[in-house]
Amino acid sequence: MSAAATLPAPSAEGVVPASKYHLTFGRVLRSEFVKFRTLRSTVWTLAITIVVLVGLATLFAAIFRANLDNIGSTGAEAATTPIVTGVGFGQLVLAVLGALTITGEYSTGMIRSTFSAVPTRTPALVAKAVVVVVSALVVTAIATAITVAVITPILSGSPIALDLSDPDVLRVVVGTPLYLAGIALLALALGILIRNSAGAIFGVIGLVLVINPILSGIPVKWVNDWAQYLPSAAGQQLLTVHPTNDPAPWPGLLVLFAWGVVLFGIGVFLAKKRDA
Amino acid sequence: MIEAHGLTKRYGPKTAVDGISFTVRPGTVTGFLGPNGAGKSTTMRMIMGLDRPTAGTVIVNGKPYAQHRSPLTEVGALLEAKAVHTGRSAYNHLRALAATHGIPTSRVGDVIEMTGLQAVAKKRVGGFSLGMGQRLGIAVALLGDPKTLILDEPVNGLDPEGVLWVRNLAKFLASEGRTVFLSSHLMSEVAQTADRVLVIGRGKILADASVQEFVDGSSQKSVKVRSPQAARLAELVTGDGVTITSSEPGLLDVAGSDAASIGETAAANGIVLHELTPVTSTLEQAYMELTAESVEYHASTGQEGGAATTSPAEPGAAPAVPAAPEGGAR
Repeated sequence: MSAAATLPAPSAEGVVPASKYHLTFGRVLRSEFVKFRTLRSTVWTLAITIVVLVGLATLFAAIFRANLDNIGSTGAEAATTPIVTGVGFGQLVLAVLGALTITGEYSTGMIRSTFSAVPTRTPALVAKAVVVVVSALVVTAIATAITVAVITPILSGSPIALDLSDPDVLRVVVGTPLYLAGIALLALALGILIRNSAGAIFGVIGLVLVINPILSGIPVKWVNDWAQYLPSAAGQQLLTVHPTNDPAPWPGLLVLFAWGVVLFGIGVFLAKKRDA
Repeated sequence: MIEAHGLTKRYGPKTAVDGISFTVRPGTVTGFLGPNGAGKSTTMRMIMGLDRPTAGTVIVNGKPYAQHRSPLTEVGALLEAKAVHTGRSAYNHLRALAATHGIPTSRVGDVIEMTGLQAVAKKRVGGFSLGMGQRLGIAVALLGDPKTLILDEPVNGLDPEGVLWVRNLAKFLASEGRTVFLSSHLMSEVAQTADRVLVIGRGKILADASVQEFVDGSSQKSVKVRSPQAARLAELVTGDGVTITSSEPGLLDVAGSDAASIGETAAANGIVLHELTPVTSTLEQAYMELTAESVEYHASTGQEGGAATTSPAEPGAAPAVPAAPEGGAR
């Protein structure tokens, strides 16, 4: 091995002394961020998220304002409904984003490049999770801020004015990006587990949109009680002005993230065992 | 330096790699040769820690690959063209991989230039030809200026100029003291590039030798003799360790003797010779003979005639592989 230890410098200008370049988590995180923003699909998905969140909220605020007599709910409840309506669609977009971040690597073979560069695998997957959650959080926070700025004047002066000094209303507004980031993490975790784009997206939509109404519709109390702890039901407590079910809003957010973290943990465990 | 001990990989009931042990040394180009499906790529993926061995171990530069603090500067690998997200540009792909080790973007520019990808570096990889994908794979392998290079079928899809470039690059890297391990299913490719050859068939190592030893050791030399009195000559030449085959009247293939002694025997007995040609088997033939029985997929040519085909031919669609084995008739 002495020959290798005294390797002569290669001809290229970029001589790389081996000691200087090595893996660190910060570098892997930067790498994942480069990957995330150098795909058009990511950029488009985030842009669509903003359009959907702001657009639907604005549309509903305008409709509510024009039809004040026909709104079923009142006050703060009605004021936050436009925001929550946008969330219903926005979560699907972020679910697709979260899942594709990893399944796109499996379907193209990129995952082998990723795991060759980071052969212990865990840092790459954790970095992906950080990038997905932070990006979702930042983008949806911006979208929510725009939404509030747009719909506040639309609803002001009416019985359903958006009043951020009401702590329950503020909770819904602050909770929107947190809930959506939780969904994105859940989708990423399912993507790591399932490794297939269609399967992962189907799985997260099933978990978020389909299972809950089915279980809630079964007239058995313990089933209904248990269904409250499914990820979307628990997380959406945060987006409810006057929640009546368990869990309470903030613990509900924790339940959502616990689902994401546990599924992510199982995913990492399997990803380290599986052949890439 | 790559060291494998009892390396085994099973996929369900199928054994892809069957307890192989070998050492690939620095300062040489080692060719990894075998028919399609012989286990070359699986072995290379296990070296890179991508596939988990069912049994056995493999270490690179003294450690399992995953335990290196700086994997990309230890080992650079081209495992298959286009292990790349199709939606990302070549430049960004390299930049993302470089970022994991803190390798500067100037090095990304260097490897793009070395592999001749300047014109397409900012284009999305999805539109790349096989050759461009291959060049990008080689750029990735060179990114960390690694001590060991693992190249799986590096010349696939390259034009003649690209093939020559890869050959010279492999030799140059080895001359710098690096370990270069490259696979191919084409003997001729390995013959022109490698110093040593590791032959694998059906998951087992069939030969581990220098290219010269491989030719000398695994195939007999023979002499082609044409004579109107062939039958009589055959009687005279026959002896210990000499085998004679005849594929047409008046033509003999004599193995185990040499042209000089056959010529002298003929002269001493007044036998007329029309031809006396020493036949040295080429590397290609040596390889064919060695792997004839371990070819995973046989193409049927319908022309195999008298050639001894010992393994059951699998009819139907089969990838293009070294087809009919060379029989003992040469």
